[in-house]
Amino acid sequence: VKRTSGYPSFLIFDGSDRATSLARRIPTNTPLQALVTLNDPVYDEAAQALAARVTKDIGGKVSDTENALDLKLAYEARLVLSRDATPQELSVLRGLYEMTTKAPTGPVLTRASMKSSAGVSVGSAQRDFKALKAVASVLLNMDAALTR
Amino acid sequence: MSKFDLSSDLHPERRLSALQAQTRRHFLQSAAGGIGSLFFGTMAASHPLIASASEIAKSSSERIDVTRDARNPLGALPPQFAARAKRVIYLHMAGAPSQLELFEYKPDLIRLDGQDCPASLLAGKRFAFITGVPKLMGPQYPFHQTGASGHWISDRLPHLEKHLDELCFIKSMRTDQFNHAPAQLLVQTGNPRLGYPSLGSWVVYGLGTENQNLPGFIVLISGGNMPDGGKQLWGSGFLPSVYQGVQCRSHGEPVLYLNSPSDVSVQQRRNVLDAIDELNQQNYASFGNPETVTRVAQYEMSFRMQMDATDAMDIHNESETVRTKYGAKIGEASFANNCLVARRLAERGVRFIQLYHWGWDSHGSNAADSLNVGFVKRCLEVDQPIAALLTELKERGMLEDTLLVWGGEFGRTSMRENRSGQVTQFTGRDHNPGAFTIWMAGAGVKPGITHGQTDELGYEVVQSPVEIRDLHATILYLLGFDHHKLNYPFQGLDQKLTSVKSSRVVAEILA
Repeated sequence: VKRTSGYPSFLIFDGSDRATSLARRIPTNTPLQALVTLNDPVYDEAAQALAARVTKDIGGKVSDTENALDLKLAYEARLVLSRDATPQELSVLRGLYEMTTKAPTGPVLTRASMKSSAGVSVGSAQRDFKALKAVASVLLNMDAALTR
Repeated sequence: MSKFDLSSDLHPERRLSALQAQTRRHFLQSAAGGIGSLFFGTMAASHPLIASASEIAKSSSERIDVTRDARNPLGALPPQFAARAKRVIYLHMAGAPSQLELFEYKPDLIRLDGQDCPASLLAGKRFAFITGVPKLMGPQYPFHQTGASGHWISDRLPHLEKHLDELCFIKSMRTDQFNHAPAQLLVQTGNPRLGYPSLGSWVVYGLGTENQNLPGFIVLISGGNMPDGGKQLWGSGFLPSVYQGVQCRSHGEPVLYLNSPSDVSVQQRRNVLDAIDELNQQNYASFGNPETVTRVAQYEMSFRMQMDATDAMDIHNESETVRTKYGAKIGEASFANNCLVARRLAERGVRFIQLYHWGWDSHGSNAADSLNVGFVKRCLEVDQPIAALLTELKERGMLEDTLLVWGGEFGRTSMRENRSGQVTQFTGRDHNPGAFTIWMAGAGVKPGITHGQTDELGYEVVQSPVEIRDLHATILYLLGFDHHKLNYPFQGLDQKLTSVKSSRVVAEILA
């Protein structure tokens, strides 16, 4: 084991390589970090898991589809931000959700457990899931989520 | 409290941690009826990002105006006056290479080799490791004179030697730091303490960069150790963090995660980024933290890098002949590969390219850190690549507007190191902040000259001393700046790369 071979994501966020101690962490903000939180499989799967959790917790409980979407987005945002999203924020998230459900479907998602709720076709459940995942990715990349 | 009773299925401790995650910003916003956000909102309206520094600048003739569209913080700006250099490639030899084994020929030191060091040279000096009375030590490698300029050079750099007439030596460099990390910080940020912007950050802050699809300030490290000064060496200090140097990996993929996940199309990625940008803009409107806008800019850069960065960094795209010229091998983390990448980045309009090599700390305490073993390897690692870089820049007409800087963070002593009073089988020299050699080449510097002089032992500067801040002033001048006027208000001071001490442009070396 090479102790000085740091976890790449940490190094991109200017973590120490552990060869030397750090007196102070410097503020850091590079495009490479954006690529990590957008594309690193860890964050991709986190977004997927978040979408799965929202689907599981809210999905089957509400019958009215319109209302269900509002609840899902609000819940998803709250899980990430630890506060209620503002109406303006929810409107952006909703916009993305709608755009994503309308987009031509690419390869179907894999690992997540997807239960289609009653009366909803598998196709639309997949689109719903994919859009919730896109929303999750946005939330995890918000300055408000990354900066504490 | 909200539509979702999260507390019902959460352990109290988790709930506490959620509460702790709330920031003071939210407290100000909600508890004080939005007074906090009103305050920050006003601040934001009158001082949008980047313009904040420059708006103050408008009221003062002593600061360069770097106003830019906040969404395009790296946009290219014209220099203050006609510049000789458009870009910089800085080759930092971390550990401090011995000038006495490379460029500083001191015949008297050969004569005095093995003799006790005179007390006059030791009085009042602090050394990192030397104790008691050390012995003087002559050059460990033979020197010869070469080229039209008649420079002296040792036999360790046979490739670079062919370019000797293009190099401009400063043999009278001085520093006031004798440990690596603070000395490197001084060379790269103008200050031995943490928290100051690096040379590259200042340059990109002042000039922006020509290629908006790549970062303006890129850092490459040739495997081995990180420089002791750490990532602060390319940090942006108090400047907006968008001017921070971007370190690309030297082995494997240069930039990780350049590709979107397989189920995300380009259009979908664009949609996601638009949503992130809009949310961040809302956040900025509420709280007015300029770093939020920086983040927006960095996300946009990441999107453009997804298109362009792979090609820029990929030395597969070079012919075998070119790679051989540098000694670059695909897949290796080496200074050679980085020199080749540096040329590719320079061609693409990257403003400041910083290469770090490592392992030059030749104390003689072990094989790797000695003049007989490690130093020999280090010379082999850098000699051919630097020569190839010079050749190629010249062939492509880029040496005219590219400034190359080579150097360490201090010099090495004229005495042999006697760590703990012991003399080992390896030879080495201790740190010497009193004198060291750097060279520059290319844009705007006189080729084939030597500036400054040290005493007959190469121990102290006796003529035309050049401080680090003088070097900085000179580099900024070559890029078109008056170093006094490239400043930024922070902590009640117009902060400059060259600090508050007096500094001068070394006019003697300007072409």
